[in-house]
Amino acid sequence: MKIPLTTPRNQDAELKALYRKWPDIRRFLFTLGCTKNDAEDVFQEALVIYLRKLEQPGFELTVDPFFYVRNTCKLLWYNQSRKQGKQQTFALETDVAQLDDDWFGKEMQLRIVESTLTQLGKQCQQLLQLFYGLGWNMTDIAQKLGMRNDKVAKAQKYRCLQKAKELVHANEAESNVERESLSYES
Amino acid sequence: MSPEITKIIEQYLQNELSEADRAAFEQKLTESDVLLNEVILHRRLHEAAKRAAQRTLVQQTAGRYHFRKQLVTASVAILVAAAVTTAVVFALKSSRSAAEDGLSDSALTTLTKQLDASAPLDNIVPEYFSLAAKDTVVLSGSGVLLSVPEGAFLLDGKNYSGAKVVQWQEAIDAADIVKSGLSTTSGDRPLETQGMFGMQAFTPEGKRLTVNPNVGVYVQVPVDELKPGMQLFEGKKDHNGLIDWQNPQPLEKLPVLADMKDLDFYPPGYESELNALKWKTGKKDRDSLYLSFDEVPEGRPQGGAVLQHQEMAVARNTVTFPRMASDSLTAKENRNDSRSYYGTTGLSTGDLVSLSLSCNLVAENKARMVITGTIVSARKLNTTGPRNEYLHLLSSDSRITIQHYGTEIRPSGTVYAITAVYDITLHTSGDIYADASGLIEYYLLGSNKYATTNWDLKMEFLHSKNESEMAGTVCGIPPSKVLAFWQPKFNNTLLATRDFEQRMRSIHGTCAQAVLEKYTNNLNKPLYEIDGEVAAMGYAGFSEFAKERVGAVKLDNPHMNNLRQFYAHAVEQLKKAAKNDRDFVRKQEQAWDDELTTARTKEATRKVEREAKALDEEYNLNLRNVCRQLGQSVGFQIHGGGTVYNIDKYVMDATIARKTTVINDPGTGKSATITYNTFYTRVADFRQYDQCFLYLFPHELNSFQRVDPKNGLFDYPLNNDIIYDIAIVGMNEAGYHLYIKKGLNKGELGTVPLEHVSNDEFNSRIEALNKGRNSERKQMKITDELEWLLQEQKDYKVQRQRKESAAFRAKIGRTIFPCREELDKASSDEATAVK
Repeated sequence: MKIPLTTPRNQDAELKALYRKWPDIRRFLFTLGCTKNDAEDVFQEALVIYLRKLEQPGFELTVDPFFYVRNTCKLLWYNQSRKQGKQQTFALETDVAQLDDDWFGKEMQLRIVESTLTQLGKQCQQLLQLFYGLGWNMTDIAQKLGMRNDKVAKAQKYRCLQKAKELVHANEAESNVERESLSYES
Repeated sequence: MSPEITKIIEQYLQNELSEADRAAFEQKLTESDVLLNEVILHRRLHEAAKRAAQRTLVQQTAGRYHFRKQLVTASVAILVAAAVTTAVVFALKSSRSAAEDGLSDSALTTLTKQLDASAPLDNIVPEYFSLAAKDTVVLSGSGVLLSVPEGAFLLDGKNYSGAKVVQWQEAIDAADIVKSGLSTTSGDRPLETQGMFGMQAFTPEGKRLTVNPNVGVYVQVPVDELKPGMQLFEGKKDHNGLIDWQNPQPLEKLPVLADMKDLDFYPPGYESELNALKWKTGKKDRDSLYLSFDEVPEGRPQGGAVLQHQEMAVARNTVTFPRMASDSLTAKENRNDSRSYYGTTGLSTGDLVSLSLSCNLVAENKARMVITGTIVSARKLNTTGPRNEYLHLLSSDSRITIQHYGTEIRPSGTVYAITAVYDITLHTSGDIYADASGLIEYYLLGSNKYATTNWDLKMEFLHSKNESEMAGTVCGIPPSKVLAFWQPKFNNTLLATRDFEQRMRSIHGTCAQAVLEKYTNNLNKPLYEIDGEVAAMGYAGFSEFAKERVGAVKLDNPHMNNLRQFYAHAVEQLKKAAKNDRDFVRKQEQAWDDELTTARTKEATRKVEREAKALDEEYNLNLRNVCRQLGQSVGFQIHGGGTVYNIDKYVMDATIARKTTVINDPGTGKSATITYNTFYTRVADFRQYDQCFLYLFPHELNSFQRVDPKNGLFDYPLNNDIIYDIAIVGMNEAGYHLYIKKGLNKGELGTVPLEHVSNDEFNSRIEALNKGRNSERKQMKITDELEWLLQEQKDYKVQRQRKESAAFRAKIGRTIFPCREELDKASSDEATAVK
């Protein structure tokens, strides 16, 4: 079994400490031309990435967590604003650009799948998060979500997964259509 | 993909398949790319779900972070609606809705004609209110408020919830009472009345409704004067048609609920004081200013004599400094040697601290002394004043007196014998304070003059009960405890009422947290009961409130417990926020002071170095001059002075004294002269400058010199053989003021005016002066000097702002802690008495 580098409890405290730096990050993002609406999303995404990076086997943090998160914010905003076709008013330093590796690319794809999950019903989302995210067993989940027993919860899990798959396929098809129509136009 | 396959993939990934199934599945996987892709997607879904869980964690953190910020924000209070106005609005609404879905006008008229006959009070014209099913509040012609909650009426013993007609009669003034032939007796006893009322309710069909005794109809009657002991009597008609009043019940008023954002819980005078000062009007700003006063008020416990040393000593923390190495203090004659100590010791914030300093001299004669400080609160030591609180120990015969400058440390100790030879100086730099972590930081500088001995320094802290233990006795309502309930969460509780708002003003007046806690801890008790309890605590004024007999706001227990926890938590949060803000400000001030102190120390060092260099250069110049005049001779006699054997020493003395001296050489008959000319100048309007310096830039020397004025007069003899450029610098908050004169070696300039110049101009002119005097020489650098001057100049503004801020806070603080002023006065009286 893999032992997580930080226990959830530490994670809580660390997140709290990092969140207290939010005004600093916000100011930083504003200087990069990030809008009010986007800034907190970028910050939260960076925190998610930070949490996930910590879980990578063999990953060792060489800078202060705050700087790691800040650099990630910069990179995320750089990519996002480029995608939105905005004029880049800043360049990436090497240490920031280095963050953009294979792992990071996979994370970005995973982010799309994750956002697809939000189209599921509330109960499905909760169930999947509890099971795969927090590692709860089916009996506890059934109790928490007010289901009769673990069998019901398990059956529901299959249904949720099936639905999630369908959503992913539908989204892929949609973006394929878009891509095709784009190439057709050009 | 079918749901069945999804299920199998999931079982495969969760390792739930049997051995055989598993092998079969893996075989399939090698054959089908589609299936393989599906498994990959499936894995991704797992990972994405995990990611979503992590995002939830981040968002929860965000929620808590923003929540904390909102606590401080709260909302705007505007005093508008009084109870009656609210009621009128309701009444207007209800009459309109009555026309819409209640009875039609004509139906009502027919019905009321029937009902008039059955009215309980004779000769009083009844009022009728037609209430639709959902209507609840009506206001009668004379301002009596009727509130009919759900389920207030019964029809044949069963709950009735349809439309109803309420018949209402009132006889409030004497004329009405007489007209109706009402008596005011209860049995044989005469009664004093504040009004009589008759009420009956009917269905629209005219069937009589009875009042449900478990719910009741609430009636609020306007009275000019509240008479104690007023009770509600039930009127029973006897067989003669006379009414006897029976079954007395105490009256209970319902608290008037209001929205938290419309209520005002600030201490009386806080807002008006701020308005008078034209301070920011936003509730957010005013809340955060209010919160910034959240500290244990610096007062002694109530009813208190000064704390006795022994009583206070519940904990003890002793820091003993290491004995100094003897060589470090074997100081040369007439030189001071000093040592500084710096460290921390664990105390809680708000502790009262007794500081005791003791210095043991371990000399040959075993001289010994003990100095005792006095009781000071940790916080007080860290007042915003300049860091010049000194504890001086000066020897005089075998007694030592402690002298004290600055603000807080009052000497009360006894000092024991010490030999007069020792002149010991101990001063704290006023740096003893509890920092953010509740530690006391201290800085102790001891200097020992003429000493050739070892000495030990010992510092001892005694401290008393901490903040929470003192909470009951310390006077003042902490802002955090007010702001913690002043938020929407506490709407629809006892605290969100006009009645409590009124009490809060008096609570501020009591300065006792215990009183406030009575209310915040008993959210489901009737208000008059709490009033009574508070009155019993010795706050007699609250018995007036108790007389109003304002009842409770119904609150179920789980909700109340919830709120109680929430309140405790909110107080903690606010306290923490206030402390953080305070520490932040404190740290900034500290940083500025430290920076300035460093700059001043450096300047002092530079001045000494500069003077040494200037003396050296001038001495060499004088020496060359004398040698030239004497023709390098060695034997000579001083005119008017004693014989000097050493020309070097002689020239040195003249240079130090800056006095004209003539030297005769008897061997050659030659004489040499070193001439110093008098030079005086004054600055016009000297007092308008906080600091004033004269800078001399001698053409023949590399160094420059700073001359300080005495009472506005610069008096410095100039060497006749040197040409000086001078600059006089005056500084105040407005900036730099400058006067420049070039090419001098004597004279009386009289009173010279300074001209205001900008920073840049000042710098460039001074630098030009430094460089311009003689281009062949290497001039002494002046940039450090200019930087120091700039910092001194900036400090004026900082000091003024601190003074203003302290004055402002003192003024506002008086409205927030009204009892503190009395205490301060009492303690200063005490201090005078001691003297």
